[in-house]
Amino acid sequence: MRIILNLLFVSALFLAPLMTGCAKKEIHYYSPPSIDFAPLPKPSLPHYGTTQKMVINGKEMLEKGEIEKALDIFEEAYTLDPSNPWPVFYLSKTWATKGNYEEAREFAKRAKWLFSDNRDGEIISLRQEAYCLKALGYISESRELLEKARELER
Amino acid sequence: MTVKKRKKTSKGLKYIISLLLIVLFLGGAGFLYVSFLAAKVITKCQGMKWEIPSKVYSAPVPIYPGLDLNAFGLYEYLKDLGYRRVKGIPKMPGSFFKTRSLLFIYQRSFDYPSAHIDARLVKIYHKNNVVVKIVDGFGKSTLSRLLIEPMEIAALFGNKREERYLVNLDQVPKHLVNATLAIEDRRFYEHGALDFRGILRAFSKNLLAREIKEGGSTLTQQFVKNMFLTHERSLWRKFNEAIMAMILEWYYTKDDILEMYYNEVYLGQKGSVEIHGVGEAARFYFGRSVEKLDLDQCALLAGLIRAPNSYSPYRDYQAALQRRNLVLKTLFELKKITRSQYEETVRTPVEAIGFSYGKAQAPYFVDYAIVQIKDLYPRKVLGSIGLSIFTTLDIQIQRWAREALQEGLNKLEANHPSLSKGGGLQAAVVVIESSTGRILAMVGGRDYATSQFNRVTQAVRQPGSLLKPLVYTAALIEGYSECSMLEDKPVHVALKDGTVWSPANFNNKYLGEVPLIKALAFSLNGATVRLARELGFEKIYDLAFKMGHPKGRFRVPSMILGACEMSPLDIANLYSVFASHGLSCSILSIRNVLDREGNRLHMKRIRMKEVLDPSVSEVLENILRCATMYGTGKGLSSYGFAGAAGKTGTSNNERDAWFAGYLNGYLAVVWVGRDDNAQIGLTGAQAALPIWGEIMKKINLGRPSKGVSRTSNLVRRYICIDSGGLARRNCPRKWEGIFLSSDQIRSLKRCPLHGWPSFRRSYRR
Repeated sequence: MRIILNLLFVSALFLAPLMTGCAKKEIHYYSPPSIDFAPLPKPSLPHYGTTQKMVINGKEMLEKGEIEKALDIFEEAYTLDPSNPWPVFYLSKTWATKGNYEEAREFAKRAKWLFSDNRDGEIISLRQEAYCLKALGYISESRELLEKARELER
Repeated sequence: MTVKKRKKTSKGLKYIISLLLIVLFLGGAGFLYVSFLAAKVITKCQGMKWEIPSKVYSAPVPIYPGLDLNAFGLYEYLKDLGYRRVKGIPKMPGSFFKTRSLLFIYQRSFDYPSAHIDARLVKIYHKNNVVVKIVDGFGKSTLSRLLIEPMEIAALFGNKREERYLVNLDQVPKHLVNATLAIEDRRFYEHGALDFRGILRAFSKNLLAREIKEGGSTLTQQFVKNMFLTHERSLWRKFNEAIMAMILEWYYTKDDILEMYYNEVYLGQKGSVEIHGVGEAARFYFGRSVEKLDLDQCALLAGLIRAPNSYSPYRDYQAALQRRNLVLKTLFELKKITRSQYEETVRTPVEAIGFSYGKAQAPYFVDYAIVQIKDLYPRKVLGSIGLSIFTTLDIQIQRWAREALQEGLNKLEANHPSLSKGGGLQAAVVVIESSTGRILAMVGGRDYATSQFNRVTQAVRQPGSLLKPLVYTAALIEGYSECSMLEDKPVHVALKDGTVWSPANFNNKYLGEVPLIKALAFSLNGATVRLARELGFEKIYDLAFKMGHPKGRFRVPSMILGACEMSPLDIANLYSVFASHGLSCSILSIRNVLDREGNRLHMKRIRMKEVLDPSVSEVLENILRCATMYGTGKGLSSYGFAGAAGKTGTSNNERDAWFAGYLNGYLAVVWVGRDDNAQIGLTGAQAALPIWGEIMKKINLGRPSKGVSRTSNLVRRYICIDSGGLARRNCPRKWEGIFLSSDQIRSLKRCPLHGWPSFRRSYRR
């Protein structure tokens, strides 16, 4: 009995890593967060609340497919408060929706820098940048960024 | 038949034939003349009938919770826009009322790029002038932000100085149509081009009065006179007028003619500019679109037609009131309005919103903006197609920049009278929002009326030490830190052409071994050139090119000390990379261009590209802050704000004085010099820095920070800028150094110059 149990234990030790290794790795570039989901850097500026509301409006426009209006709103929010990473992140998303991945990538990089002590914000920015890189054909760079995002997630 | 009879007959025939020929000739000439007039009428009426001037606007002003209205200068701005301060809740667009905790603004209607906003009343709750809440119209809905309309900074006219806002007949209110017809041409829809009954009536009245008291012209005739002819009182002009009116009525319907009339009619004067059309007049007198006019306003407008300047409420209130009431009475007599409407309206006072003449606020900037779109819209075309050009200009900052430049130059000339000779000093200022690249202010010279040469964009001068930060940026990228020790000694660089370049320090003084932070803060040439030689000049050229500095002819070692030519705008473009933490943003002066229907033709988006590691730019910013605290820019400490990062620049032989610096996301570059390139004998710190300080002091107080506040991951330690070691308590010039990694501080030792070991050494001696 003891031998059977030992054999089972040892086989479980060997089989477990193999089973997890076989699972298909899905690449998630980004999952759009809700506005409340990630706490932001300290809102030191008085118009932080205003820009957050503008980002919500901009998101609605983006969901309706009104890309130019969304860009107008996000740009205005960014102009009001350049410290707020959310308008920058959504500018990246909107440019990507428009198919302009170069612009989208630059905004994603900027958003990542602005989300300095916000791990969740960094993760979504990394994923967004990876998505843009992939669209531009930089596959290996894209994978590197995804790896970074996964490391942060752990 | 006798011979006599035959002769008589042939004479008669000749007369008849001659008469026929004359009639034929006259008829033919008449026909040709009428055809000529018809062609004139049709060509004008079918094509672009009017030249609509294009208008250039500043940026709209956003108001939002948390904003300090006083510091922001909102009240000043409203007055500049022509808003009147009233007692009590405003009832007309273009007015505002302030209490201790409330601000009512009755906004005028405006076509923004994103939407048309009708005239509306907004209520701003504030506490000590800081906005708490904004509500639209008596508490109906809360607004997250409010846009105050931009200021018109220029109108680009064609051949005529006329302002006009085109409307369709459907947009003209029924009251205005009734009032116009009642007072000008009651039988407009009944008669043809000419009203013979009216002519006879006017003729009999004038005969009895023995003077011209009344005209018999129809609206069509009035339109023809204004559109095609002069106001000359002659039979020939009257004759042409009649013919052209008939031609017009032949080709167009009454409604078409009335619509054209409403867009052509002269209705007032705004300085040297004529107000034409009811669309523009409604905005000019009442601050609202023509569709929104009330009965009394319609009556006033209709009454103005006869003599706009005599009956203008801006010139003669009583005359305007009487004329309006006469129109109302006529409407009542013709049963176009009821008795109650008449009695109620006749009691209301005449209220017009007022206007400002709109002085040329930013002529250099307007010139620059027009150049940006000249490929699409040449200047000649702009004067007729009625575009609305929305720019990035901040009117308040523009004013502060203009005033600081004037005062700064006046002070310099007062302190150095020799500088005022031969044309005097000149200066240029440009202010940019570093995170977006928007130009907020541009002053291209002392006086636009004297010289339209835009020194911000067109004056290429030697920037002196302004390019030194490029060398130090390259050094930081290569792993140098603020405490890396450099040699400040005389240096000789062999050039490709075989000559030797030997730049010297200011006053020929050398400091020996200095930390990197001190070398840049104190602008030491010897240390900078040695550092550049160690790094490799090519690396610095490449970095400069990457950051937006033009390539090619500036790839010489002396470039790092400013031996090249750049405009203030080029410098601003370069420094915006530092100010924005590594981003190169396209410089924006125009944001939107709309056509006269309000459709967006062009939109310039914010574009950015990371050209420098943000961490490196953070370290460099720290060094430039040290420069304004302890270094060549320390004169800024007297302006009452801390944390500005900047660099002075003085060209060879002190011909050009510069200061480029930024604070809280606002970057300003100031140049002072002379147009004839003569020496001014002043450094950047003496000439340009005071002007920069004045501008930035006002921006710091009056504008919210646009700087980036984020938690930095970099290592910070207090250092002594004299020795480059870790600071001791006794160090006179301590500075919080920023390091890219903790490895950079591992090798640092305590300051050897100011600690008690040096005291011990001296004690032992």
